[in-house]
Amino acid sequence: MEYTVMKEKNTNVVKIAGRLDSTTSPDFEQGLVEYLDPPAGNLLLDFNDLDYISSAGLRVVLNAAKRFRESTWKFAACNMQDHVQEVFEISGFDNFIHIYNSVKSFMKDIEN
Amino acid sequence: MKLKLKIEATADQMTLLCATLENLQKSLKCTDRQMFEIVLVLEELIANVIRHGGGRTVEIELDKEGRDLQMIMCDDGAPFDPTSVAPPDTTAPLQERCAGGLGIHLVKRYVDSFTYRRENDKNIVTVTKTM
Repeated sequence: MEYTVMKEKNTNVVKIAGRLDSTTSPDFEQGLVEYLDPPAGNLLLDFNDLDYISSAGLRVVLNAAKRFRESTWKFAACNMQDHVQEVFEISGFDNFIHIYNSVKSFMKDIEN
Repeated sequence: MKLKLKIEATADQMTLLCATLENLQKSLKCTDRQMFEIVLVLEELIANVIRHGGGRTVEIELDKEGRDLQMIMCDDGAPFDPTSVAPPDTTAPLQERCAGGLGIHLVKRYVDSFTYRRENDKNIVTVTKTM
């Protein structure tokens, strides 16, 4: 698992590559802390290069979503591969996390 | 194809096992998507053993015949029946959601049968999947 962070206007785009499993998720959760505690801008998770996610990864995403619940900043995800999106949908995470097709569509949405 | 593996019940060994399985994709004759689902099921079940049962070792038996895959996981931890884990309410609002039970919820969605028995002081979980 590796991730890069790119700041675009008021949004931190965190692009994660590889696997979010029981072994890698704690590191990713640690890395996200500075964007969550408290949220100081929008946070967009770019899953384009994420090949694998298990419930350990979902837990990190759920905790991040909760941190944004009472914030005026937005939390969202984008560019999911089909099987990753299916895991989100089976878990009902699509009820509270907006899944965009691209970084661009998120940016366009928050400008409006 | 039949395969028997034994690992220590640790996260590192589990990761190694997942990688080993992915290297066997050709022999298992499954698609990328099916491989993802098989590895996910194994990770969730073994993670449960590590988290709840406190077992030291997990034995995994894979048996693929035609389109049918059977996986048997046997661990020496405390009695723990993963099939009885309460399902999460996936429609609950965000503030009420917790991550508990999600792993087993995913397992149930990706396998065709999921059974548990306790035998000789061991937990034995069997899943089958038709591909």
